[in-house]
Amino acid sequence: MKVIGISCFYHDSAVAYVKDGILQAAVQEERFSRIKHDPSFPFNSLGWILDENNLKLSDIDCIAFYEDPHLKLNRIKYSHVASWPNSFINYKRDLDSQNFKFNIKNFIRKKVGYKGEIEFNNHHLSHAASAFLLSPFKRSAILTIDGVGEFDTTTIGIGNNCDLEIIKKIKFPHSLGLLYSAFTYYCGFKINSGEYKLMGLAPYGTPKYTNLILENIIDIKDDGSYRLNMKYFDHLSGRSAITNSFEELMAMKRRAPESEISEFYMDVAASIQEVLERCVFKISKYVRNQTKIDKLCMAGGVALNCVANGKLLRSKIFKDIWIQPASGDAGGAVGAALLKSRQASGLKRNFGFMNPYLGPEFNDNQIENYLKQNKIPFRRSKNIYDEASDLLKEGKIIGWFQGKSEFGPRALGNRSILGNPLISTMQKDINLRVKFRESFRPFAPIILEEKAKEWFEIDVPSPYMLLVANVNESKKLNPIINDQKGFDKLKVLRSTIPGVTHVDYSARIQTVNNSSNHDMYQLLKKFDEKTNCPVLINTSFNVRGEPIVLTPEDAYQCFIRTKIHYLCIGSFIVNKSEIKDSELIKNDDWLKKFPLD
Amino acid sequence: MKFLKYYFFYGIKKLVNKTLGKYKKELVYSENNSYWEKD
Repeated sequence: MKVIGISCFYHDSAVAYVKDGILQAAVQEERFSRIKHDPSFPFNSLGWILDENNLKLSDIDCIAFYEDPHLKLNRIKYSHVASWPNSFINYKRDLDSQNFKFNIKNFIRKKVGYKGEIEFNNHHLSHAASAFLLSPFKRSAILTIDGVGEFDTTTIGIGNNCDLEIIKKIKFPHSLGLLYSAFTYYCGFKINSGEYKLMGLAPYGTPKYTNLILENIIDIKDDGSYRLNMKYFDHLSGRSAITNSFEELMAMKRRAPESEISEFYMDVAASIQEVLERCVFKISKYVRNQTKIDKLCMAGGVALNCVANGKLLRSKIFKDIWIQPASGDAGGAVGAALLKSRQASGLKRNFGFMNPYLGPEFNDNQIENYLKQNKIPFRRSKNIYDEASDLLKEGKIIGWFQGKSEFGPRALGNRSILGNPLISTMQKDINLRVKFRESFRPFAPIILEEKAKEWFEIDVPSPYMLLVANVNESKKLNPIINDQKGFDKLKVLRSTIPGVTHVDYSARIQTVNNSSNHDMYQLLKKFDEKTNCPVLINTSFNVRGEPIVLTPEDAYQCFIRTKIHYLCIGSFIVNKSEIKDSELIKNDDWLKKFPLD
Repeated sequence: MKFLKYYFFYGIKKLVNKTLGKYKKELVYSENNSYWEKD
């Protein structure tokens, strides 16, 4: 049976293709449209998936949509009723938008030309399926936490072989995801995009406001269930994330986007991160007690909070945890397709490694043609791993473009910007001169799986960059000084790999083995041979506000706009110094194309 | 017209529910030990 899963019309629209229960391909629309978090119908992604798999629309047995627009419309009506008359203006907007989704079947039939079965799924069930049905577990507890689906915001479930059951839930407007997003907004970042920044900002602050938040904003019971005090939130009416009362409680106005980040906002970030972690811990203990299962699968936007994930793993509440790498709404497309496939024809589960490299790939011929057609100076490398590792050792910054593109929000080594973590200035250089983003943001290490334990306090593989752990004591530099405040913490050299060590000694780790990513494994091996360091800085191949590059053209455009020194693309190397000055883009006007995130 | 219909219909419905406390009780903290709901 051939099933296409689709998520769209909110954020991160995506398409997944499942054949006889096995996930074949998945891609996010933003990679084609070059619009970050693109919510529009994924025509490009659908077209690519059909072409790539030699399919015609008539070959598809079912299109599975990741949520139920009928239920969602009911929630919008409920929200309107509960917040009337404040919702007066936004209600019409939301209703119109939902009416559009309401007619998605007609939309798919008319605009796509598909005449077969179209099925709606529950939003959180799609998340749960995307986690459990791709996990290596035969039986597992399932926890999904996000902003909001139709009505649910947090669900607990049980997965058994191919069956899934939701047993407990918390409903809108009470939402951990929306709580975190409200603080993201309050700290001057963009909702549904800046949550990572808030998480990255937290270690600079002190959790001074934890009690204030727990006493006033959220009521967390011993079993982890919670309720928000709606006096401080305005997401029911859809007008804003927070109310004036929120600012009055915090005794400070919302930080203006792009303005200087004061210590106050760092402390707020630290506080909400602590509140989130406490709540997730309590929920997890409750899930363990209720289900009596020692394995956990997680999905939903909050499951991308890798700091909380890492602490949860180390707490040993569960023996093993598996987190869907595309935990946001894009992953819903995968879950919806798997659910349909399971219902219709049973599901073949391989209980192995979920391959996150599910998108388009370009072979050497295609890359060479592109470079020649555009008269770009390049050379074919005899050994790309050897040459690239030499360049990295010299301190050069490399754009690394190999194999299939990743599905999900992280670049996992196929569309990455790489740097040498041994160089102390590398973090600042890549942040300011390459990514054009805030200097406080940390970079993630990518490391040989077999050597991860030597360098970090982690004893399990982390192939999806979803776990945070501290640098090992033996790699920390002494004496450890902890009396700096705010961004002054950045001035201290904390470990032998300063490029990937955050100010609290933590790192968001990705481990690589030869079968999960052969190219990256070979590169890390070579780098290790030359430097005795099996770690590289790995950040997504894009600039701030831009989706991760997809094609050789995207990669080259990003390369000539930034201070990346070399582009290693397939078997070819492009040297920035060989490119004519007139080709390089030296002003920042193009940055305006990408809205701030 | 559809918008006005919804707006006034749900507006009136809210007033009724507010009087009965149906929605109000869902938006404040509770003395119960748990907020979990069964599916």
